[in-house]
Amino acid sequence: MNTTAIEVRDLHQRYEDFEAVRGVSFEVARGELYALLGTNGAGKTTTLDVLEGFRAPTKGQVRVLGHDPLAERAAVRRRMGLVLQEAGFYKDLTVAETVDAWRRWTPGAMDRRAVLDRVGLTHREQVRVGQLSGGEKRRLDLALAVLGRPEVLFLDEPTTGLDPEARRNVWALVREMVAEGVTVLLTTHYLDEAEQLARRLAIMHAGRIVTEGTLGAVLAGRGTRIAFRLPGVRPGELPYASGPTRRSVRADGEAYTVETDRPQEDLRVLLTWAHQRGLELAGLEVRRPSLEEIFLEVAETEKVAA
Amino acid sequence: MNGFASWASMVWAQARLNQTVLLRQRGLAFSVLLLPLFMAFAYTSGDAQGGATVSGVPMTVFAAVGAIAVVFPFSYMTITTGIVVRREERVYKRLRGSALPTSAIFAGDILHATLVGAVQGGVILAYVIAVVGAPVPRNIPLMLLAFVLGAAVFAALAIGTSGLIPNYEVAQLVALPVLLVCMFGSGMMLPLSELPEWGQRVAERLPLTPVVTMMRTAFLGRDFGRDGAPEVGFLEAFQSSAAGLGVALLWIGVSLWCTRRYFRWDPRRA
Repeated sequence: MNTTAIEVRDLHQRYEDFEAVRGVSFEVARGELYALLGTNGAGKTTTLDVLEGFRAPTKGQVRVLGHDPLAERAAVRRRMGLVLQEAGFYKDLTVAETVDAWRRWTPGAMDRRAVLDRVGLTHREQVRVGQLSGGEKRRLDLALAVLGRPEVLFLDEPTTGLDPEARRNVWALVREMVAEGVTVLLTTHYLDEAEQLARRLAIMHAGRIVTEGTLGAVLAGRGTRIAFRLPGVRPGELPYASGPTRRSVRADGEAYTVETDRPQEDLRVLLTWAHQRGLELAGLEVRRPSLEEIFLEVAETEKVAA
Repeated sequence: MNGFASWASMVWAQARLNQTVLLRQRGLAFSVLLLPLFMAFAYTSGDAQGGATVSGVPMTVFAAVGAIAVVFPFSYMTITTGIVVRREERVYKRLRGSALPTSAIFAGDILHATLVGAVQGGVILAYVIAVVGAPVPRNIPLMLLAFVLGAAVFAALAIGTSGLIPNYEVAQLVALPVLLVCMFGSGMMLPLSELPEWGQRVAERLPLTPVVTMMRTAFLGRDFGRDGAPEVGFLEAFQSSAAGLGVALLWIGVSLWCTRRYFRWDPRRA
């Protein structure tokens, strides 16, 4: 059996005079959770639109479970579940009526109770959809997406606008789906979300993928951060040689961030130096780069290149 | 479940859902479910004593038979508002992301509006026979054909024009002139011969006119398309309706063209 669930090859998508996606390629294996990261306008939703069969690519090719999602819609539509960024509900129907209606045209649908239990909405069964909170609507979104036990789940910014607890609930549900073997393609601009859920990810910017790979690979090749606050000290006074080196020092007011690929040695130098001068390094931390930082770096580089 | 059975059950599910949603929107539900009945009753309860006739048929009977056709402009309203609301509220986006084929979405809308129209038409028909004193329809197959044709023309018009209607409010506004043109320009209440010469030429080409004429021919067994409305036999009734059928098909054709050209699943981007 084919082990690739989603395949995108040199995808271009143009709206009149604007090219939203400019040559994107990636693959998602069956049972994998893959995250597409990017700011608004990076081209994530457009990429999903093509994969979901809502529009034909201007150029390039996409395959979902081995099929063209637009031309062979019938072959894939019932095997995919979609959480779209801005899809509406019939506001006047109750949660139960909505699920029941969807069950009528979803082959092999789960029981209403089972699906509502799964997303934690059972207690709101008789409430009209228009009266649900944002988090509850998102859960109903997920309920409809998983109703037909999909093999592939597309989640377009599934936790945007949710409070922290609701986000964690969504994450738990997504993890369960992955554990059951569902392939998930997730878009998000929350970096911690990708960090929490995805094994592999791509960072999109201005219609292109700028970094792609496993979380480890994306983080590797980017130095460890030593961060601290030190009032009344100029960057030049730090115990690090100036000039082009394997490390960089960034100062933002009294907050310093040292990026290094030899953290142990550089930390020792710093601590000895501070100790000798009787200085207190406030808020000292040593950590891997966050996706946030990688993301900003990518955006910076792109701006420079443009 | 085989392909067609599963498709048909999806269409039925859509039609059923449309009805549930319609019943929740009280104002719209009143308009499209009850208003056509009130209009037909109000319309046919005029003075029967006047004794006016149209080609020998009492005016009240003439008008009562035409009143059945009032259900079609209301089907138009049901379908256009349904489409516009779902598009603007982005329900279409969700429906199209489900296992539901696009054809089942359209077919569900048409089936729903047509069933509502059929029930209303049946009620008006019963009223027309029982209370207004119209005879029993002469040519039931032609009557059914006229109904199906009317339903098809107005469903096509609704889908074809929905792309030009930006929101719910405008959908309600558009429904009104459609209704008025149908009522006064299609020979529903007044015989077309009452209109000035140019008005008759225009009226003959309106979408509802052939349906109304066909219905009367079927019901009363007389060809109201011709002067003096001569009696026609069973097959002759079909023959005399052929030209009207052409007009109706032309409207369906125009509507399909408009659908291709203007139909939108998503709201226009700002």
